[in-house]
Order: sequence, then C-alpha cells, then structure tokens
Amino acid sequence: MRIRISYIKDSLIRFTSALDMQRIWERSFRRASIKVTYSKGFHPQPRIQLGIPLPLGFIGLDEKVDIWIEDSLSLKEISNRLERNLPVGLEISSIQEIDISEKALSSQIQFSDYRVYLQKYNISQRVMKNRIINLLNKIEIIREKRNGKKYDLRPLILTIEYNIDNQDKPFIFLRLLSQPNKTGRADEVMFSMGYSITDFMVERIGSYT
Amino acid sequence: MREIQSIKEFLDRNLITVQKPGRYVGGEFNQIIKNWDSVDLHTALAFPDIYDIGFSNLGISILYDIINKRKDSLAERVYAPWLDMDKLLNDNNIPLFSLERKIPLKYFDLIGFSIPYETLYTNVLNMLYLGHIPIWTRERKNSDPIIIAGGHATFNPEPMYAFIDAFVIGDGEEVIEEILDVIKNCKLKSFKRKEVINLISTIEGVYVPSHFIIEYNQNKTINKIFNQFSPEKKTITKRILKKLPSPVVNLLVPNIQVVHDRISVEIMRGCSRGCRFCQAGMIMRPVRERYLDDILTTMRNAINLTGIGEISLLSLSTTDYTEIKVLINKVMLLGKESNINFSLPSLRIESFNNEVINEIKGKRKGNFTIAPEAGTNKLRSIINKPIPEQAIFDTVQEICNKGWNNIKLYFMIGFPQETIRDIEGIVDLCKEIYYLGKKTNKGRFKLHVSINTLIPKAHTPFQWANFGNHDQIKKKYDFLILGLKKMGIKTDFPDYQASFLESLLSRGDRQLSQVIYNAWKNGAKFDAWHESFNYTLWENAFQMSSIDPHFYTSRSRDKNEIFPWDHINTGINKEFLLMEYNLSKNSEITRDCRERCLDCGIQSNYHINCNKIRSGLI
Repeated sequence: MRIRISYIKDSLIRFTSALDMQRIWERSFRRASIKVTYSKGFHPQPRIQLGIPLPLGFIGLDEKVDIWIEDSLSLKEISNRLERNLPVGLEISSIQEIDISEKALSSQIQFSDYRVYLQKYNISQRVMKNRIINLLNKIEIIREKRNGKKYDLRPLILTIEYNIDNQDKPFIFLRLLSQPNKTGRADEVMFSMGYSITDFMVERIGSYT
Repeated sequence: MREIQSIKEFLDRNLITVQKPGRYVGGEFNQIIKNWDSVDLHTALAFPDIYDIGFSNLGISILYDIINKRKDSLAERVYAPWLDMDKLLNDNNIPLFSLERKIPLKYFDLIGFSIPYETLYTNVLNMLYLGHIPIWTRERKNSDPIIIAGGHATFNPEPMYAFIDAFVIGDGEEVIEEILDVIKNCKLKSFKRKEVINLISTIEGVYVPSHFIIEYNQNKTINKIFNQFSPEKKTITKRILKKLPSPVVNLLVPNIQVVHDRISVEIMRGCSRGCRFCQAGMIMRPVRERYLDDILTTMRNAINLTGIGEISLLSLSTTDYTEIKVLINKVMLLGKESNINFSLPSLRIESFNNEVINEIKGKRKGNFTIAPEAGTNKLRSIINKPIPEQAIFDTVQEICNKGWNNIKLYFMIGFPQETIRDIEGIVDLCKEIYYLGKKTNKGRFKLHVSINTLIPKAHTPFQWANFGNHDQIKKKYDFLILGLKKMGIKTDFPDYQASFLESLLSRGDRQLSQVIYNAWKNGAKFDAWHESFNYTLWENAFQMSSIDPHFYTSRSRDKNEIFPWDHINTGINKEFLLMEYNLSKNSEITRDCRERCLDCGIQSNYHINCNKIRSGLI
C-alpha cells in the first residue's frame, strides 16, 4: 500500500537536509518494523518519495512524504509504531492511504506558504512594511542561483504581506510558486529585501495543489 | 548555567551560516539525555576530528553506553568544530559545548579524548581552548575538568604529556568504571585536583605523566625513566579485557550523512599475524573472538534498534575469524531477508578462498580491496606479510571471474631495506593485475592503487627503523607515478610533509609538547586534512623551540636506546620486537602465532593462555 504522511519538521532536525530525510524515513520504518517496498533490480532502493524539498534550516509545519509499504497495516497501527521511532523534531500529524497510481507529490504542488519571523533585534513594523512595499514595487528581482545562473524572483512571489500571529508576534507572510524550475525560495525573498541569513527564521506552513 | 540558554539562542540564529550545521545539534535517535542535577558525575566524550569522522568511532560508542548505563553518571559528546564553526565560536566567545544539552565543556567533571592518530593533537589543544579550559595540565585549577585520553595514539603518550592529566592505556571498558568510581568518591569528599589525579594513577593501566621523570643524555636520547612517587612502579601495563562484552546495540543514528554510516560490529579484537609495520596488530594483542551467536544476535538487535541497513564487520583481519565461512553465510542470509548491505573490511588474500568469495559476492559489487603492501616476495617477507605473488594473481583472477571489475590495491613505500627493485615490483605487480583484469572482464576493469609512506610506529618491530628522507621517498613516488599513470591506473599518494609530521609525532618525546603548542599557536589544526595542513606552521614551531624534527624521523636508533614509550608496557617484550626487527633484516618470516607461541610476552605478562582467550574461554 502507499501511504502519505503529513508531518512537522522542527527544532534540531531542521538542519537535516532534504536528501538526508530519505534515509531518516527508511530507518524510522525499519525501527518500527514496517516493511517498506523496495525497487527491483541490482540496487534495490526503498520506495520513499519526498514532497517539495524543504531548505536546510527551515521549519516545516505540514511536510509530506509518500511511502510504499509491504504490510497492510491499519493507519492507526502505522502511526503508533512510527511515533516511537522518529528522531527528535519529527512529528506525525496524519497518515492517509493514497492510490498507488497517484502522481508524485512534487509534480502536483503549485505553491507553498511561509511565515518568516525576524530576530528580536530586527523587528520594526515600519521598516518591515516599507521593505515589503519596496519589493512589491519592483518589476523584476534578479537573483543568482548557486550554479551562478541568474533568474527573476519577482514572478515567483504570489503574495507578500505583513502579519501578526496569534501570540502577537509579527511575521512576513509569503506565498511562493513551488513548481519544477519555478520555485521561489523564502530566504531569497528576504535577502532581496536587505535582510541577511541570521536575521530571520522561516517556517513553511504548507504546500498546495 | 545561564550560558546554555545563550548558546542555544546563538545557535538558533547562526548555525545556518556554517556548512553542515547538523554536526552541532545532536538529537540523533538513541541519544541519551539525562538530568544534569540527578547524577553525580558528568563526562564529556571528545573526539578531536569533525562529527562526520568521529560519529562512528567505536571507542566513543562503547564508553557512551557504559557511562550512561550507570545511575550516577552521564556522558555527552563533543567533536572538533570545523574551521567555519571554530571561527564562529571564537569570534563570538561562545564556549565549546556538548551536543546533547549544549553544556560548556568546562562544567564537566571529566573529559575523555579518544585519539586514534597523532595528527589530531593540535585539535585536542584547540578543543580545550574553545572549551575555555587551560591547555596546560599545570595551569588547571581545582574547578577545571580532569582531562584523560585513550586510543591508539596514546600508546606513545609522551608528546602530549603536558596537556593530558591521565592517559588510559588499552581496553577502556573496565578502566572507565574504575576511574569514575574514584572521581565520584573524590567529589563527595571535595578532594583537590592533585589528590584526584594521584588516586587515579593507582588504577591499573592509567598513566599520569607528571609522576614520571625523564632524564636525558647529552645527545637528547633518554638516559632514564622513573616514577618519582612509586619507584617500584616502573611501567604502566596496558589494560586488557580477557573476555569481550557483548557489543553495543542501541547505537546512535546520525541525522546527517557521516563517513562510516553503518552499524559496526566488532567481531574480534587483536591480530596474531604479526606484520612488522602494524601497530594495531602489536598493541591490541591478545586476539579475542566473539561468539558467532553473540555477533548474529547483536546484528539483529542493532538493526531493530537503529534501523540502519548497512552493517560492517569490524576487526583487524576479518578472514582470520575462526568461523568466518559460517559467519559470512549467515550474514548473507540475513542480508537477503531484510535488505541489509554488508561490508567486510580487512580481508586478507591468503586467508580467503573461493568459497568465501562466492559468499561475499552480493548484489552490490563495489570495490574489492587487496593490500599486498609491498611489491616483491622478498620485501613482503621483510615486513612479515608473506603473500606469494602467485596467490595475489589467483585471487585477482578469481574475483574478476566472479564479476568484480573494480579493484583497489594498497601499498606502502619506505620500508627498511627497500630497494628500487621493490618499487619496480609494485609497478610490475599492478601492470600484471591490470592486464589480468582487463583480459578477464573484456576491457571493463578499473584499478586504483593507493600508496602510503611507512610511518615506523612505537611498540612495533620497526620502531628502530628510519623514516624515509624526503629525496628518497620523492624519487620513489616519481618512479611510481611514471610507471602507473601512463598505464591509466588511478593512483594516490600522501603528502610527504604530512607523513613526516605523523612520523615525528609517532615516536616523539616530551620535548614535542612545546612544539605542538607552538604549532597550534601558529594556527595549526586539522593537520590530518590536506585542505588545512600547513607544514610551515610546524617548521616555525620547531624553530621556536630550537628542535630539529629529523631527530625523530631519519635518525638511526641504537638497539639499546631507551625509547620515550618504554615505560608503557603493551604486554609484548621489547626483546621480542628487537628479535623481529633482526629477523626482518634477514627476510625471515614469522608465522601467525596461533600455530606456535612465539613468546612475545603476552602470555607470560598477563598469565593467560592466548588460545583459550581467543576462543572466549578464560
């Protein structure tokens, strides 16, 4: 059966890269004694399909992973067994069974929402709002990818606004495209507003089709 | 400890700026976090290289398990921060902290360094410095942690004598408990640092350098080593476990990629082959094998408790395990059942045969590694690794027939009595193997040749031998490069200066403490990493102390010379090592001592029977 796990990636494990998450899931399932399906061939690989990769250091509040398993267990049982076997910082919110033939998560997602919190010393409502307006007024925002290629970040930003959470903490809300070759990075948006990497913390609220 | 909160806040904001921040956060599955105030003793287990390397260190895993099982103790881990993190901590005056709870090192009662190789020495100093602990033993106050060190490099503790309060020589499983008992007792009675260290020194296998006085000759060799407090205690005898306990099964599971990301199961400790260059083979005696059932149960439990799907069988010479065939069979079966991959390092050519090759031929055909070490039958006799050339070809033929097309060969150069013929021998041997592989696999064959320089080590028959001088070694490298590279054989060589440094530290004496300190002050750290190793820093360090490094490397040593490590007793008599050295000069081989006891000293010094110990019957 194929299951889709929605989970929170928080605290220390936010420093585990998307690539390493594959192994984290494989090992968590083995500890939980739930048999994962392996691909056929010379180098059998566990069938684990991560959703849109979460950049290193981001907190994920509603991340998703698809896993094919051999056993047909109740979702409740899977959840119970897994819970005890996850590393600190991973927490399952829900598990659902999905159709074997459904398309990969990463090809269905259209956009993701983010909350960006600024470090205490940097919170000035006025400055934040000004910077947002300045950014929105730009026709193009040329940024550079790691491989040196230049791209325009502006069309990848669907929404950017100043907001306050239910604990009265101000944050910047971002809705960015999350499509193959058209993915906006929240940290890049912040950089283009003049903030530096140590100024803020990003939470991805979720990714949507 | 208000600092903990500020460390956490600092990390929250700044970790994202360093590469692989996951190295500094802990939180791995099976991590043990205990309440600080509910235990009497706090130990930090320190590894002086980065997390990625130190994570799978067997010694640290064992001690972590033992200490945390005690009700009165906790153990947390700390690794050397990489250069970027080192700078970040330094620039912001953040003390080096433990991974588990982010506790600054200076708050621990005990810090135990595991030092497997000599090029980590400057990192030990750097970690003390980053931990805000005085680097010199003599400068530590009562409130500072006790600094102990163990591991292979500490079998010659002298170069680090000024920085380590007490060295632990040999197997650590039992002695750590005794040390903790003493420290706990002292803590309850509020003993002073000096009293604590004095009491620790009474434990078998513990070496407190400040208790020993070294007198030198005019020519800077040693005249006399004596114990100033207990003259009758002339040597420190290595600790051995007569029987190995069951291996740790609830191993930590890394959240990031580390270098040896697998379950390591130690199937035996020690080796009876007696290769004359091999320090581990000498200092780890006697051989102790684990029971087959114990190994298999350990593997199953470790897989269940860690979820790790890669297992490596650990020993100095895997194929010498008495029941190796049955073991490999069972291991392969387990692998098929549960999608587990196995690796078997340290296979020896002469001890494996077709049957074993058939078994290890799994679904994954990676590298097949063979270590002939030397290029001719004669030199292989000199170093006492007497593998006939034909046996190497037969093995290569066999593994090629079985479908491997990647072979890696290990050689060393710089052996005593090595001639240009032996170097040509390496090229010839590689060529033949290359042709053989190409022919058998119809062109699809890759050969990788890895060359190392012999570092004569303390407590081995080659401890009297010279380290090759620059021009000799370079000439040999050049010859090999010319011969191998034009064939299209991939080769790698060590940096001469890096080998030179390792060589001088390996057989160093107390004079080197100041040099190590100078080098670290000059900026030396991560000397084992070519991207940060800088010999100029060391050169200056030697000049600052007016010491000639060649005294430790290319100098010929007299058979009667007292070595700086002579008071460290590995159980093997110096006369035996000298006899082995003399045999090597006549290219005479010495058989594996399983067949006939060679009276190396282990049996008589420990009053044991090696054969019984080997099979687990005390």
